[in-house]
Amino acid sequence: MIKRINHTGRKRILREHVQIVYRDEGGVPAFDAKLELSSYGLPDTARVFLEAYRAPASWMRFDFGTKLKPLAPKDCRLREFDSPAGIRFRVKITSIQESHKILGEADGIPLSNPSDGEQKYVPLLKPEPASLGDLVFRVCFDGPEPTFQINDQILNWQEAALSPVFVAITYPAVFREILTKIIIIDGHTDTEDREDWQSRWLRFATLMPGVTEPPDADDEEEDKRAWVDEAVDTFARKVKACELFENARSREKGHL
Amino acid sequence: MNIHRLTDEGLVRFNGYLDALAGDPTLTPPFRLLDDPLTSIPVEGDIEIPQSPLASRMDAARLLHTLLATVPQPETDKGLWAWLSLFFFDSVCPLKDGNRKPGQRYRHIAEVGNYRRYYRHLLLGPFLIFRFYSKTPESALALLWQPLDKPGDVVGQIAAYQELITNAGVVEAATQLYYNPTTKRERKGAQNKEKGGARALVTVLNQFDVTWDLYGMTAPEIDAMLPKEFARFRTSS
Repeated sequence: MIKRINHTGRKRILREHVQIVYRDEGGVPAFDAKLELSSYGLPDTARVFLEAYRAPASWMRFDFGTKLKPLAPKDCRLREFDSPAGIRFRVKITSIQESHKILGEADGIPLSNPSDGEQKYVPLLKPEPASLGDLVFRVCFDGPEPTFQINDQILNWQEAALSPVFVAITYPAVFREILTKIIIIDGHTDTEDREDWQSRWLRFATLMPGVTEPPDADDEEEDKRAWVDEAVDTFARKVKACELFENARSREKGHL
Repeated sequence: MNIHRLTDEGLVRFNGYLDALAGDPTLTPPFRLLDDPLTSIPVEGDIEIPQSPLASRMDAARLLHTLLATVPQPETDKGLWAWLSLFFFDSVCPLKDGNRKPGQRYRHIAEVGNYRRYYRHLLLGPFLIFRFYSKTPESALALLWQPLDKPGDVVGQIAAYQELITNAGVVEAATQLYYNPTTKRERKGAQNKEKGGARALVTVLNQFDVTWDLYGMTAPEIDAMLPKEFARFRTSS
């Protein structure tokens, strides 16, 4: 759905209060969920639903009882999914007094797999293959978070995406495109909301040495562009983009 | 013939044909790619596919749902869908006055990594919708009644959003609004960009989605919330 501003008073349930763990049940993916909803001031009678989904068209809904008496359904098998890969969850808390009204929500919760160990760092952007015609890469903003698409016709596209020349040229460009979308197109400047991909990107930028806090939403576009330039320059310096590029060229020419 | 998938070479050549078709719309499809070992490899299971024209998205979806029942994750198989497109090319890109108009590339070669364009593929789109509603495919007739080569704006609007296409209440409400079971066609005005057409429905549903749990609602409940501009579809032909 199109990103909208929440004026409804709906509570945003933090990811740290939702844990969804994968398990295998006779060859069918299944899950266990742990929800911590006591700090949101939601009515005890509010109904709790979990929805599992995966693009393009897989979706299942599970009734988890009420906030006061959360109860997992007997069957938590993800029968509509042939594998656990890429499954995300949405938690919805709805009113019983005003039927179907959403009181609280969390979205994009990944299905964690205990066998993977604890994942301390979630990458901001992960390359993924896509059909792109003659384009080499594209930043796609169609989903809930941006994705970095690499042309699936490129031989060993994963390897290509990590090659020094590719990194040197594309990563700063991708960083610029994403920051431009956040700051200039969407006018988003908050860095504190850890649930929001835009805030996470801005926070990443401001954690680099020398990058100032982002401009305010009502600042001049010129100032916003200057801040994006500053962040991208710092990023390029951090990944040593020019050096990577030159070294790769030298190797190509057999100079090293 | 058994179902195959196009190889990388097959995809290059099929793409080349689609490119060439833009310059010469009378070109004959390269059906030889379908069983040339250089351009196609058989899909596991020796699945025989009947060579007959497909009258509608529903017919195509029903057939493919049956044929591909044993193929794991067929929706991710770009070569498979390109092969099927070529196999049914006379249905997905029919000759009109001796010419073919293939339209956008994603109609024939699925963009399997693009969430918003999966559905634009003329065979994968109806297949996915039918598979999701396989217990009650009639409830999705607003998205499946059309000829294969003309999916139209109702499909384009609703199928572009995963939250809408997977919502049984929304899809059934759209069918009740826009599909006329008597004429077995769309009601007049369904493609209208305003006045209760599919675009307006998506806009309204996007607004509702902020406040209401649309997934928990039935088609009549959703219908009852719609503004007056949609009322004309409940009685129109």
